[in-house]
Amino acid sequence: MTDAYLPIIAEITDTRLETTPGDRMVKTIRVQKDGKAPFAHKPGQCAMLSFFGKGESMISIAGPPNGQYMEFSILLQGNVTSGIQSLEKGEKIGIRGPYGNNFPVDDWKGKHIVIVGGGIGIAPLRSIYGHVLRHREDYAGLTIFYGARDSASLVYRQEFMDILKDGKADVRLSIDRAEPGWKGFVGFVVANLAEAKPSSVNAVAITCGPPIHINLTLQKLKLLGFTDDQVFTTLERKMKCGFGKCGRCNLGHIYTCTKGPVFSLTELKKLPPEGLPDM
Amino acid sequence: MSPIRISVEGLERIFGGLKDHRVLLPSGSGKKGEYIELTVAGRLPRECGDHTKPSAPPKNIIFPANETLLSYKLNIDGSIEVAQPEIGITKTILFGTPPCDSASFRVLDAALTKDIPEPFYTKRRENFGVIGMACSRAGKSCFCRSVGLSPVSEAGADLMAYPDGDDFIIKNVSGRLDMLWTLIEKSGEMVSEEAFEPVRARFDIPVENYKFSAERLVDAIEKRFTDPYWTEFSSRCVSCGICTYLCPTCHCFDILDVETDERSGTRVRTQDTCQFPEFTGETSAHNPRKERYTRQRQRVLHKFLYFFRNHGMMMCTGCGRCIRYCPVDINIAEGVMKLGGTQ
Amino acid sequence: MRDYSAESGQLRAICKGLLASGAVELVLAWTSGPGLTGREAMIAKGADQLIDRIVWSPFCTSSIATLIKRNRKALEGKNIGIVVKDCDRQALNVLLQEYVIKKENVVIIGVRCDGLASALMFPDATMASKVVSDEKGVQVDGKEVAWEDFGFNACLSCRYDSMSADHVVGEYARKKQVTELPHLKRLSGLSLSGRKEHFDALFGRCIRCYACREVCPVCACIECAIDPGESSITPRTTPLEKTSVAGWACRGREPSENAVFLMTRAMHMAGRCVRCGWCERACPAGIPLMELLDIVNENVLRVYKYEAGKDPAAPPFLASFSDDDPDDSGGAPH
Repeated sequence: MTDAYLPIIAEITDTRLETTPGDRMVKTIRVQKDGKAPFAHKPGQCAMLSFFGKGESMISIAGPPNGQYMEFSILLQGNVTSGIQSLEKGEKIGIRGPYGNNFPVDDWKGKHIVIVGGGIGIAPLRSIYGHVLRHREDYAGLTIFYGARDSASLVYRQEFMDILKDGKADVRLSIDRAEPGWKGFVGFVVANLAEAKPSSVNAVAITCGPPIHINLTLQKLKLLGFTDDQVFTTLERKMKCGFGKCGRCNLGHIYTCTKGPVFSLTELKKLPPEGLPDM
Repeated sequence: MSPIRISVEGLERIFGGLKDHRVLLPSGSGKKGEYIELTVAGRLPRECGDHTKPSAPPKNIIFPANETLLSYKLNIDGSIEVAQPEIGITKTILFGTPPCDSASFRVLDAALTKDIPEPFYTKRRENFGVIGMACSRAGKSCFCRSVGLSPVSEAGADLMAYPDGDDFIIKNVSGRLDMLWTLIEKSGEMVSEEAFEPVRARFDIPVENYKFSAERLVDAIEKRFTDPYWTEFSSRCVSCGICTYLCPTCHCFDILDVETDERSGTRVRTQDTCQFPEFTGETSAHNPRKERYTRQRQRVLHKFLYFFRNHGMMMCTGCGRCIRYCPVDINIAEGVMKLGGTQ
Repeated sequence: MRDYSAESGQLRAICKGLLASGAVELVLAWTSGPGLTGREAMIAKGADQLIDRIVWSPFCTSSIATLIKRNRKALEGKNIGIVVKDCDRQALNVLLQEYVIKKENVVIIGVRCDGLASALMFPDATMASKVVSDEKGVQVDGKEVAWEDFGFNACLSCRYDSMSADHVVGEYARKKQVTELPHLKRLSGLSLSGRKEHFDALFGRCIRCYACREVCPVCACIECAIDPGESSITPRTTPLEKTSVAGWACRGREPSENAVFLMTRAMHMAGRCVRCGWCERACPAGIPLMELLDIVNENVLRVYKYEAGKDPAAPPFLASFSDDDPDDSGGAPH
C-alpha cells in the first residue's frame, strides 16, 4: 500500500536569497529528484516539505509545471521554515504531494489575467503568470501588480525586470514607503491597482497576500466591476496530513487541502465565515 | 440468512478455538473501563448498555493515540533514509459494543478510508470485525435515537448479538466475518423470524433524553453559524478536549517529528483535538479559531452538519460520553436542540 | 440537617444585595442547571433570571475561583463578588498572593462545605429536587448516599473546618478529622519498584487533555511552562523566538512525556494546591491525581510547615525560604 505520509527524498539543486537576511527573509529553493521534478503538478497546488526533526510545512509550488524542477519560496516563520532555509545546494529535503486543487488556467484562456500579489503572496501566483507567459498567445493579456514593504523585501525582482523587458506583461511593482532610488509606484498595492484601473471586461483577477492586503484588494476589485466569479484567491491554513484526514484545515464541510486552497469569491461566499477575508 | 441461536458457552468455545484472532471486549465501565482480551476476562459479557461502556471509546483499538509513521536517519554523507514501520496486524474481533460504539466504525470508515485513505487505519480495519450487541439500558446522557440510531441498530456491526437467557441470537449483518459466521451456523440452530422478533423487541427500548431528529435540524443549524448562542454555549468551556478524546467518532490527529538524537528520529501521528487553540494556529500567528466559542462551534457543526453534508450520516452516535464527562457540564444535545429550534 | 434550598436562598439574597447596591459589578456563583449539578456563571446586575437561579449544594462540584483565570480580561479592574466553598476560599488566597486578583476588587462570599456529591448517584433527580445533608451523607428526595460512597477522595480527606469571608452561609454538619491520607499510606507501603509500576500504569492512561490544568483554580499561568501551546505566539513574535519556545513535554502521548507533564505540574503546585480535587474528578482516564499532588502537599506541610492558601499576605512557598529550612526534604511520602 502506498504510504500517504512517506516523503520522497529530493535534492536542493539551487538556492536564491530573495530578500535581505533578517526576520522576514525569503529564500527560493529549487527541488529536483534525479534531475527531474519530483512529481507532476498543476498551477496552484502545494507540496509538504519535510525538515526532518522539526516537521513539515505545506508550501505553494511557486511556478508552473515544467517537468524539470519545482521551486518554493520560503518565508522565515518558525522551526520548519528556519530549518529549510538552512539547507544549501546539494543537500536533501523531503517532499510529498501534490496537494490541493489548482487555478483553472484552462478556463481562463482568452481572458485578461490580472495578478495582485502582496508580500510572499506572490509565490503561489507565480505558478499562474509563469504558465500564462509560456502560453501567452492563449491569453488576452497579463497584468501583474506586486508590492512589498520596501524594495529589499520584493521577491523575484530580476525576473520581473526580465518580464517587463520582454514586453509580454504589464508589470507594476510598488513599495509601501518612498526610498531613494525607487522610481516605481509608492503606496499599497491596492493604491497602485486603484490608479491603474484595470478593466474587468473579459478579465480574471487573482490575489494573494497578508489578510489586510486581500481584504483591501477584494474591496477594490469589486469597485472596479469584477464580479464574484471573476475573482480568485488562495487561502492559508494550518495543514498537517494534506489529504483531508487530519481534520484541521476545514472551512465548513470542505477541506482546504483537497477542495482548496484555491477558491473563487463565489465559492468562498458559500462557506462559513471562519478566518476568511472580508468579502 | 436466518439468525442463529447459540449458547454463550458455545460462542466462547468458538472464540477460544480461533487461532490467529484475538477477541476484545469492553470490561468495567466508566473511567475504570477498558477493552481486554477474552482470554484475560474469561467470560463473554451477557449484556451491554450505558452501564457497561468504558469512558474510552473503542476507536483507539484500530486508531491508536500514538502511531509511528516513519523513522528517519540523516547520514553524515548528506543522504537521508526514511523507513516505514511494519503495520503490526493482529486479526481482531471486538465483541459486545452497544450500537453507539458499533456505529462509530461506520463513521470512521467514511472519514478515513475514502480518496487517499489513512493507511494505518485502513490496514487495521481490514483485519478488524465488530460484533455489536443490542443495548439493554440507556443512560441519562444517551440520545442515540436522535441521531438516526437506536438500541437495536446494526449500523457498523458485522455480526449482531441479541442476548436471550444463556444464549445469544446472532445475525450476520455485513458478511465481513463470514468465516466466523460459518462456525456459528454449524454450532448453533436457526431461528425463525417469528421466534427472533420478540427477542429483538425487548431491546427496542425508548431513549427519553434529548428527543430530537438531528437530520431535520441540519438546515436550521446551518443558518445560525454566527448566532450569539455559541458564546453562551461555550461560556464554561475550558478547552480540555475531553469531549473529543472520549468521542467514539472524533479522529483528528497531529503529525510531529520526535528527535532521538541530532541524526535520527521518528515522525509520529498523535491524537489531537479541535478544542486546543493551536489546532488551527498558524506559525504566522493567524488563527481562524482563536476564540473559544469558534472551537466548540466547529465540534458541534462537524458532527451535526459538515459530516452529514459530506457523507449522509451524522458523525455523532449519541453515546453521551461528552455530556457525561465534560468537567464543566456542557451539553451538546442541549445545544443542538436550542440551535435547531426544538427547545 | 442542612437544608440547601434555605442556604441557597440566603446566598441569593446576599448576591442580589451586592449587585443592587453597586458594591460589585459581577457576582461569580453557581446557578442551577437542568440537572442537579450547579453550573458556574458570571452574573451582572439586571440578569434576574440568572440571579434567581443562584444555588449552593454539595452538587456544586466546580470551583468558582477557576472563573478568575479564565476571564482575566473581562474581570480586570472590576469589583466582583465571588461565592467560594472552603477549598476555593484558600485558592483565592493563593491568587491574592500571586497578584492575580486584588483584595480591594473582591467581596468574598463563603459557603461552609461538608464535601461534594455526584449527581450520577441520583439519576431521577432534577433541579427541583429537595437536597439536604448531615454528618452521614446527602439525601435527595429522601434517597440517601453516604459521603464515602461518592468516592471524592479529596473531600473525604478535607481538613478545612473554618471559613473567614466577607459574608458566610451555612454551618458545618460533618466533622473533618483526617490525620493520615489513606492513599499516601498505601503508597508508602510500596517498594520503590512497586511505586514505579504503580505510577507507570497511571502515566500510561493520560491522554494529555490538560483538563486537570484547566480546571485547577491556581494553575493560572498565562503561559504554561510545560506546554505553552501557542499562547506565546503573537504577530510580533520573531522567528527566532518561535524556534526557542520550550515545550518540556512532547505532544506525543508517550508515557514518559505524560510523566513529565504530570510530575512537573505536581511540583509547580508545591505550596499552592488547595486540595479541591477538581483535577481528579475531571480526569477522563480516572487517574488518581491527588496521589501525586498529595505527595508534594504533605511534604510542604510536614517538612516546611507551610499551608497553601492560609495567609494571603505570606510570600509564595516556592518564592521564599527560611534559614530554618531543613537540608533534607524528608524523602518518601509520610
